[in-house]
Amino acid sequence: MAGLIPSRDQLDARTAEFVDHIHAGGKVEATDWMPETYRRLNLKFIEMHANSEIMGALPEREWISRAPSLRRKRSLAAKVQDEVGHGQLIYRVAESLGKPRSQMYADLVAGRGRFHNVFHYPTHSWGDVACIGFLVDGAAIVTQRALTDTSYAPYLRVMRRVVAEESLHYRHGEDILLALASGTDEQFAMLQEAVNRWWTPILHFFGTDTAREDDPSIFWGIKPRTNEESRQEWMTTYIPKLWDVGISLPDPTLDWDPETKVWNYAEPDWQELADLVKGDPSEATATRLAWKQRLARDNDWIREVVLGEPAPVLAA
Amino acid sequence: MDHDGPDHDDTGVRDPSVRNPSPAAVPDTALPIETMWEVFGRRRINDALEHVGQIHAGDRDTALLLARETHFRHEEAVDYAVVRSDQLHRLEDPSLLERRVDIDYRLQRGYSGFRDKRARAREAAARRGADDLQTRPAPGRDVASEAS
Repeated sequence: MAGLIPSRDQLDARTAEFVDHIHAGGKVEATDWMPETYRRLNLKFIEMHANSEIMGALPEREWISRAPSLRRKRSLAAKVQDEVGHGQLIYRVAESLGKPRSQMYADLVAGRGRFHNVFHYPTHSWGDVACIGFLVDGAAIVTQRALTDTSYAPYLRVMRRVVAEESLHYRHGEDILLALASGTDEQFAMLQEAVNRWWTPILHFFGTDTAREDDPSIFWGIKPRTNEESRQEWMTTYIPKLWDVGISLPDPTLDWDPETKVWNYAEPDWQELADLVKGDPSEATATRLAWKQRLARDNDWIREVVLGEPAPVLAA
Repeated sequence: MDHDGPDHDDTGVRDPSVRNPSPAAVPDTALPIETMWEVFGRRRINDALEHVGQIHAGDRDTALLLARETHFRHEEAVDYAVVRSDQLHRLEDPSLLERRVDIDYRLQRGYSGFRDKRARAREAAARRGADDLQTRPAPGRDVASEAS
């Protein structure tokens, strides 16, 4: 990663000026000049984000038909629609950095696109829907809210809208979680079992504890906060809410230190994360990609009908 | 200004309070629609473009110049754009935006009563004998209300 963080004397004058601009909180528009490393890292980051919105809709989509009431069904369907919409908004931003949206989508469907670890897992029960809606979306809110101060202005503007919609998803998730937590022993056990399974993936979600000065995404102004800062913020917000209703977490060393105001926790196995996102696709991912491939093939004609012949652009 | 009459005053600036005049209502003396431009500005870099008004100009460069002089003389924007008015297509039937069925599940107000719901979950936890769990009052926050 060191090559992605150049030292000051390696920079030409124009790049040095650009770096000073973003380090001073300056923003960058799609039409502005930008160093190739900045464009490439931003594209990779934003494309992965867009892919994650699309792939993140699929585990929940599997539960629309199995939701326990009509209200839950509509609420979940609306949320899935929001997430796919976020994906489209964010692909538009990624596209402004030079890669066609059709290519990103083709890469994703073919299994070449990267996306967040949490969307590689299967969903076993309605308790998983509570965990995705409340805990995983909560983690996404923490990282996305930080992105409302990213240096790439088109991304920042889209993130403001996405975060506003995510707060609704948070409510949707909390509602499901509290219903299960106040339910029968079986319902509570279903929730507790799902929380136990999601604990490690959510710790993984934020990434390794990388120092500010060693993180290329921070150097290039893509994300303003370190992985650990985001993980700690998530823990501060969500763990007390779980403990409050009697949900335990599968880490006996988990503890908040009031002196340092830091959560202590057992380090998750990072190799497990690397294997998941870089190795062969998980069974859940392989199934979902096969489904996406079929949808892409079967629904291509809709795209052709909707887009039609491009309308002539009138010269100004 | 008489809204039933010509929608231009003698300065040639269109009254923005006149919504969507039909072409037939525009008198012969009006400047042609091809020379009308919609102006959008961004107050701060983080904001989306918002409609601020209209101007008349014969070409793009003049439109950009007049938009600046008409709408952005007092630091109202850090960025702006113009679009020819005949390139803007309006919703023809506003009733399409009206609510026909209950869509509360798409709105914040569809999710309420959390204090009571949380209290019920706490009571359930107590019934299960969960009082041996850690209940350290670490700082918690309400994410949803912060984000909105």
